[in-house]
Amino acid sequence: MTIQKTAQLRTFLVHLILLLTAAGFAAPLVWMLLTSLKDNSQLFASPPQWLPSPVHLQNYAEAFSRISLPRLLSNTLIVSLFSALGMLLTAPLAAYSLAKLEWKGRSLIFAVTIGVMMVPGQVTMIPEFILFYKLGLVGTLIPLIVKPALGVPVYIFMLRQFFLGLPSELQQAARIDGASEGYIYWSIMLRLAMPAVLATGLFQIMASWNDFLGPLLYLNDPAQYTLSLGLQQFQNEISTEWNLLMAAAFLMILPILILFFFLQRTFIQGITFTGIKG
Amino acid sequence: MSNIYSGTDMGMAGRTRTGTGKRSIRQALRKNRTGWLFVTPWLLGLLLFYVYPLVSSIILSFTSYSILKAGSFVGLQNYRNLMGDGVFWASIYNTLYFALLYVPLSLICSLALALLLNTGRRGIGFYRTLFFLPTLVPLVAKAAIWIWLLNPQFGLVNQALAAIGINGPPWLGSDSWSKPTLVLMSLWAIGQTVMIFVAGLQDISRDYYDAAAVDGARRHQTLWRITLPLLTPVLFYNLIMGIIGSFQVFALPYSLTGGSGAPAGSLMFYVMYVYQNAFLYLKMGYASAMAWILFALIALLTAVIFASSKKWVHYQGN
Amino acid sequence: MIRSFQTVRPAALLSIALSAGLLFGCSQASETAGTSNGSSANTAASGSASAGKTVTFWHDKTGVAGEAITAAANAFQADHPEIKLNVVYVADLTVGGGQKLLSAVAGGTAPDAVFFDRFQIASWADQGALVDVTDRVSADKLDKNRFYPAAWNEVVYKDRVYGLPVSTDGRVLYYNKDHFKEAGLDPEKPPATIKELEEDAAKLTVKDGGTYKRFGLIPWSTQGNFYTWGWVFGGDFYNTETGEVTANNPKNVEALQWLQQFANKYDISAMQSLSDASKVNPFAAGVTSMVIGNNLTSAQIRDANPKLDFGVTAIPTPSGQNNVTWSGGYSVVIPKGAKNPDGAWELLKYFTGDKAQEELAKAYLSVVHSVNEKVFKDDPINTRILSVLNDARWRPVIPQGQLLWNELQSAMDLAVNNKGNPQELLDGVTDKVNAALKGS
Repeated sequence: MTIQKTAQLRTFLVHLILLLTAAGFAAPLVWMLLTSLKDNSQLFASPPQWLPSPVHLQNYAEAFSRISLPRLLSNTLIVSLFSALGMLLTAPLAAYSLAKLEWKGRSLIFAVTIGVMMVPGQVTMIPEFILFYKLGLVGTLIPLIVKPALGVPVYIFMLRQFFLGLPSELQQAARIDGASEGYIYWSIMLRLAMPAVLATGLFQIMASWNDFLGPLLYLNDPAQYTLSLGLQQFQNEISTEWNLLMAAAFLMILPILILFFFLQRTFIQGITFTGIKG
Repeated sequence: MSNIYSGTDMGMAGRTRTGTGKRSIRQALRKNRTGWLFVTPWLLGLLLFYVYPLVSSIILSFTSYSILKAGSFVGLQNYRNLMGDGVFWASIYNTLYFALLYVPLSLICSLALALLLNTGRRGIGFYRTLFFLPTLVPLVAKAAIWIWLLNPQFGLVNQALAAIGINGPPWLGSDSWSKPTLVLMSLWAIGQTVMIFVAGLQDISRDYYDAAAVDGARRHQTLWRITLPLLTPVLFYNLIMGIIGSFQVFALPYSLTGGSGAPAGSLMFYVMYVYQNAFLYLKMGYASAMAWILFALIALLTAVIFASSKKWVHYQGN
Repeated sequence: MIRSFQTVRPAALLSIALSAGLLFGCSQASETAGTSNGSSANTAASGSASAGKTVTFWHDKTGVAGEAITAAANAFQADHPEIKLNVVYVADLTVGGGQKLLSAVAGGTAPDAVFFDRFQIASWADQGALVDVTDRVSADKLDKNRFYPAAWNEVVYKDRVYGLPVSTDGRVLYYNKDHFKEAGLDPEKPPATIKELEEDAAKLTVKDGGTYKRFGLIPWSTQGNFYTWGWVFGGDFYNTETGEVTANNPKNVEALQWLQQFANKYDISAMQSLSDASKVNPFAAGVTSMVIGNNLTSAQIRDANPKLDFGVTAIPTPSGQNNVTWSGGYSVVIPKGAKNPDGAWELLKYFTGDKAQEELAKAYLSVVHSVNEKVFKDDPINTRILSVLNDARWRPVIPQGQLLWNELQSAMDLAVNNKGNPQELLDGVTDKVNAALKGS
């Protein structure tokens, strides 16, 4: 009886905490949504007007038509998908090698991988740009794809941690069974780390999706511009059209949000490998 | 029972090896080769897009390079000048202040949220999506939303506080509140850290909990004895990345203050000053020197944490 | 041992990757083909044979200004069919760092002409990053008297010309007439002296309980930068004879003391949150009754709050006389590495001509008197601004202009937050910038 009661109380408390935190997290988003539905006079009203009345749904249509959304979207998709797919092929492989294979030079490469994250990009940006210029790639989407596609230190470090958490017995047992290293990686270890691998894929898509500086520097033709550059259209030196900007931002978030909603099941259902260490 | 082994058993099972010594050498060689092979694509990226620009920036830190002009070799002059630069020291103070506040808070909050989200309760997918959503909001929108919400006079937050009789703080308006306010804003976008913790929690084998349940362990005991120790690899990752990230805090304060670091320079962070020197004052050599001092600082801190990690990070695999 | 894999299989992932790769590979291929045929941004950048005839022109303006620039460029194209003009909108060119242009010049992919903040000309010219057009100016007998002195002087560094001015601005005091009536002030008699300004500001400020509902004036908001106040108090920032910065000119110190004392009368944190960081022009929103603004401010008010009844007047001075304003604005320049400087020069000249200037006057003030007189004859606000423009000051044309600007703004930020004594703060600015000038 008392056990049941404490369990009920606990469930209640967990839900209460979740609800309150969720309210805190949601408030800025709600404000963003409300702003996207206001017209200019509601936006600048003083004291501020919380609720849009009347509701200006047409802001979304206008935001949509003002920036050439389909083209910006397809450019952004190309950059994010290719960089994420490339990264998914290289980064987990490198992370696995750094975590689960023993080879000379491993600690050095790992240290360098961590070390390169400690220097702010502001000072490496120009040498990198000059490198891409010498490779003849400035003015194309390729610099935005190829750099993450060869691996991203943050994700390599993250995946290394996850691989380190996997039991080595599996690897050893498979080796004794004569499995090739490629097979062990691809069919065993990568699958076990799949929730984390997918998470890094999502993070890379997000990083490319919201990247402003990369497209700004490397693209010289508005036909190649990406969504984050498009958002700039709502800002000028006189003012910012916040209602349209927020509407466009929501449109921009939507695809990733849908992707996340479907992916998050795999994060949580993920894997259950019982008995390995028991 | 191994559904994954069944495939491998057939092809290679027949092979026999003679002599353990020979075998281990061969295996070691094979391992070495495989290790390097697997890391090759990344090595290419590392050398081209990370090491090469980094080496360039070290060299530049000893010159008066301006981006537009090659400049000349000035030895340690940039480093010496930094020692007498008031903004440099102020930015170090601001950055350390932010990091000391943000790193522990973000770890505690995201871990707590991850534990709450890790339950199989109904509707949890909604919460997970909601907590993740802020990380998707583009920077310009993020900065503007917060400025409006936290406006001391008209903002929603202070109006809500006033409704329950609390006189809200001036948030970004005062130099003593600005950094805690920035921490608050940054905590709003910890969704990725939460997700990494959730993924880490998923990797903990249920067997440990089953065994603990058999032993009659209480909930908090399970948390401290099983969950947290087995989560340390992920915690370690989030700690290191939190430090690197908060020492390089840039985009949000830059966007909030239009690069000025106001009020009273309280939001002038280290990388903002790197940026100012590099692109506004055209002193890329000076900025590079700053970047390498930052590197030394973070590297030192990270090395200490790595050294200590043997004591507190537990890898299930070993 | 392993019970189940409910996760996505790598093979499935790979097949998604491949199919997506095929799908987008195709669309990207067509994209690339399209750009290499159609866009001269790429061809000019990579230096192909057609570069001689093409002029690539970058600007980073959206909205009204973007339209005005495009209209002027279209007029140029119509009058110069022999040149292929390629106008490229670049999302962020000069504001806050100009990494785009810096990397383009450093990497050798610079365009032929750029819509460029005049304020940056000295430092870029000092770095050898702009094409010197002095000889072209004299060869084409361009008359510098066509332009306001403030506009012309900003394109001249060490007696050489590095671009042509194309737009300008000027600062005045905007005041809310309805607020004036509410506070019992005469809306036709705005303050003329600093003392009156201070008194009116106090009367216009509305406090409800502990919080401010309205400020009469937030002096450093919008265009109330330290240059404005220094000059208004009779100070100056540069000695052309010695080539030294004089940020600690006694009149500048007076100005900063006044700002500090003004801030101390009110709650600084409340004022701070209502000034520029609020992302909304506080004057247009009606939360401040007076503001230092420029010609763009009236456009801002028109957008945000068209019903606002406001007037403009010269910025009050300590004596009520010797009114002063200052000007900044844009130019068109030819960056180092331009493939077609001859074509670019035609564009520069065209942008200073009457036709282009009339287009640009839809967003800015023209740099040409006669154009302004024609365009703004029925516009009392801009007419008021134009009346002080001929004597407008301009910021020192020195390689460390950006440093001086930031240091002055930061000294003001510190002073109004009571983090320093005005004299010491401005001494510090002077020393730092002069040291940097010697070093550069």
